[in-house]
Amino acid sequence: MKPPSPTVTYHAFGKQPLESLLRLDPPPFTTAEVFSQLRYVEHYAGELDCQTIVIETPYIDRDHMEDHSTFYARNLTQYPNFCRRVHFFAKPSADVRRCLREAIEAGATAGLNAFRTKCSELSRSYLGFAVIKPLHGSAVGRTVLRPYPDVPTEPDRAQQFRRSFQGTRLYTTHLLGNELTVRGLAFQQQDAGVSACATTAIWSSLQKMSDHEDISPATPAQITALASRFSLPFGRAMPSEGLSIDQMCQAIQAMGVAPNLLRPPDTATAKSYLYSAIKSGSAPILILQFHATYHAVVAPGMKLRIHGERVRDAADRLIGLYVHDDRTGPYRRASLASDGQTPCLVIPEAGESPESWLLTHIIVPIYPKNRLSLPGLVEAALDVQGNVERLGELLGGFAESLPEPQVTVDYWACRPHSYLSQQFEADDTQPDLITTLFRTVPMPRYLGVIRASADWFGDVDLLIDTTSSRPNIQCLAAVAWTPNALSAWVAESLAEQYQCDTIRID
Amino acid sequence: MCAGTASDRQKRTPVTVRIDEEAIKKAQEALRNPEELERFEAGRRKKQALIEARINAVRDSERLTQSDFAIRINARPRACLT
Repeated sequence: MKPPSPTVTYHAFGKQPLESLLRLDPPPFTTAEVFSQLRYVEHYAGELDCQTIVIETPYIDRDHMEDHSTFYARNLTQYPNFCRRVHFFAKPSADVRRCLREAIEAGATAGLNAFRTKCSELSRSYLGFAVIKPLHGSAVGRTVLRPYPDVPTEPDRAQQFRRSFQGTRLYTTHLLGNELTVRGLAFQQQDAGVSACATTAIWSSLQKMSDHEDISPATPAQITALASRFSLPFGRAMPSEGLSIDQMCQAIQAMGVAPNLLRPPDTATAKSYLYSAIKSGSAPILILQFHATYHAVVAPGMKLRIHGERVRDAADRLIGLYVHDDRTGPYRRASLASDGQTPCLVIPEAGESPESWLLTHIIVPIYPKNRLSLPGLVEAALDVQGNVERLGELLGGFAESLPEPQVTVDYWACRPHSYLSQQFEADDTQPDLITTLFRTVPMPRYLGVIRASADWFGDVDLLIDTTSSRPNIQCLAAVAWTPNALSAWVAESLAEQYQCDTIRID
Repeated sequence: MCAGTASDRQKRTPVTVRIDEEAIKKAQEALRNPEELERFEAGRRKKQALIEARINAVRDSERLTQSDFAIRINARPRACLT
């Protein structure tokens, strides 16, 4: 039996709803509401100024193939094992066709580099893709869409906040031989057969983890199977009846990743963890509660306030999150609020009152040898802040110009090479400082970074060995990034306090 | 684990408060004086007490019980009847 013939069709965006373009029909016992995720994806692509949709048939999707072989292949009524894929472009259809053709022509006539240049030009207007599964009741498969821009396009909002999507990664796709790239985090809706929201949240979060470490991306079927290997507290594993937090942790651990499970007792603590996790390049899983229902979503991005008074904790700038909610869609805007002491996530609903979910737990998948948990990092940061502020008070006793030595702390974990590239982004980084740092300080796989900043000395970083853990935390160096005497003094004092080296310009 | 996106770009914190060299020297010397050092440590401990509530909240977040692990997560889409 031959595989289906490949076809690629081009459509102007917005002329016809995606569900009718794809000829999807609601299955029995459902309403057209069953397409709400697809409609959200379409609406979101519209927000990104999508102009053209390209539909590719067939598309072999690893996740669906695995789900199919585990579950759907055993149905009496057979489903195809292949999918369709919808690509979104912010260019008119004629331009997309021309660019796709020109890239191949450039490769054939001028070589591989010319082909790649043309592909990256087209990638600038590539908004991402959505795999459409042959399951009409849960059609939205692996979907990677570009997130909202970091700087809001509206000038008044650009004055107020920035977005940070550090829980995203780069994906490469191929269309008619062209190689396209898009930065995002994969989303898919739950099918309630192989996966419920807990499985889907783990699946999305681990997509980002595989950007840091060589872990094989897990399919929803694999995650559900790993989660139910040792315990079945709610009966059968498939059709999925949901997972317990225990099972979620088991599945993450089985993938070779350590689940850092936290129960933030208040909003300030929740903000610290969410901010630090996303800044560290993770996509944390949020466990939410609404009456007796628990839900899991993933946060690949956050919204940070840039106006207003200076903060003592960098996490205080966090005002909102962008979450992959498999009940509705990717990059949903959500704001952080408090219900008494308990943190909550308020998710606006189109035409309805916003949903307010209690944020009960956070699961951050981390590299197993990163033993310094987020609470350990936050606690260390608070201690550093106290020390540097005390130094400022001491100095203030001799200098009239320093009435209130407020210090801001920022804290995250990263690979040493990422830490290096962050320094390249700063305007006055001294090359000698970087050379000395990397020549003299032994680097772990992940660095814990605590940055103390103030308008009287600039920036000083305390670097922590994340393979160490409380109560035996080992510091590696205190780095005076701002080239002045006070920055050097603060770094030296921290180095003495925390028993490590000082890295500074003499 | 940093993503390397444009959001990583962080300008150094500008130094806007100028402090004369003499004050810096005096502060450095003060930290070498055992009496001053003792006062500094006392001040640091006082600061520590102020942030104790915050640190307790951080430590609380790691104190999990069996009931945390037993929570069942199974929210369904609104359109799903099952």
